[in-house]
Amino acid sequence: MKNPRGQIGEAKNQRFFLAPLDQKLKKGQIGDTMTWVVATLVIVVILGVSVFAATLSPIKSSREFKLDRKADLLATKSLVNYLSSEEKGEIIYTKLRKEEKLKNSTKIIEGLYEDDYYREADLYIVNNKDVVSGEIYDVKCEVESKIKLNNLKDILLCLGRKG
Amino acid sequence: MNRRGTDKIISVYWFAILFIVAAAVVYMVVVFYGTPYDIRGAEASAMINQIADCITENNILKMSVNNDNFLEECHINLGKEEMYYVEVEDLGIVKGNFNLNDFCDKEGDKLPKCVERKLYLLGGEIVGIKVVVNKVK
Repeated sequence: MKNPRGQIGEAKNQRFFLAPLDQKLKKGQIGDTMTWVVATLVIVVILGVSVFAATLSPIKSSREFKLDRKADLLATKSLVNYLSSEEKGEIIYTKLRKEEKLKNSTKIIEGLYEDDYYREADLYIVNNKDVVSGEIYDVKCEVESKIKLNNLKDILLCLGRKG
Repeated sequence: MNRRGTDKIISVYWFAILFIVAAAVVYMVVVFYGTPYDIRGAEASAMINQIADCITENNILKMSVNNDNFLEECHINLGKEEMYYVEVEDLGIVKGNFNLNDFCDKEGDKLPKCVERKLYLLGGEIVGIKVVVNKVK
C-alpha cells in the first residue's frame, strides 16, 4: 500500500519527466524574464526618483559665485579712513580711545553698509590675541577685518552679514 | 539552443539597463551642474575694489582721474562695453552702457547685476561707486 502523498509526488515527477522538452525550457525562460521585468521596473523607478530630486534641487538654482566672504576691503578702508580723520583738530581714533568709546566708530559701517551688515558690530583692540580695549558682543563674526596699529596691537572688526 | 536564446535576451536586457542607468546619471549630472555659475556679483565687487584703489591716493580722492583717462588709470578693460556700466560719483565718471543703469531698482536672475558701494575717505568725503554687469548672451 502506497500512501496517497507518495502517489501525488510520483504523479508530479511523471508529469515533469514526460513533458516535452520545449515546455520545460519555456517555464525557465518565463521565470528569468519576469525577474528582469521586475528588476527593470525597480531600476527605472529608482532612477526616476533620483532624476526628479536632481531637477528639484535648490542648489542648482542658486549657483552664485561669491568672492571671499570673510573679508570686505571697502568696509575696512572706510573704517581706517574714519579713524584716521580729524574732528575738531583731533584724530578720531585718539579721541575715541581717550573716551573709551572706540566701539562708536562702527557707526560708519552701519551708515555706509547698512544693506550688507547688521547694525551690531564688534570692534576691539587686541594685543597678542588678548582683548585690550572694547566691548565684545555675541556678534557672529562673518566678516573679520584686522587693522594693524603697531607690532603688538591690532584693531579687530567683526561684522554680521545680512543675507 | 533555447538556453542560448534566453541568454541572448538577458544580454539585451543587460545592455538596456546599462544604457538607461548611464543616460540617467549623465542627465542628472548635466541638470545638477549644468547651470553656469553667476559670477556677475563677484565681478562687480572685484571691479569696485579695483576702482576704489585707483581713484584714491593716501586715502583721499585722486583728482587727476577723470572720465577720459579712467580706464587707462584704473587698468580696466571693459571689453564689450555694452556688458558693463561703471559710475563714480564726485569724479563724474560714467563708462559703458548707460541703459543697464535702469535695471538697478529691479531684481531678477536674468536682469543685469547691479552693485553699488560707498567708500569713506580721509576727511569725511564719501564717494559712491556703482558697477552694473549684464548677463552674457
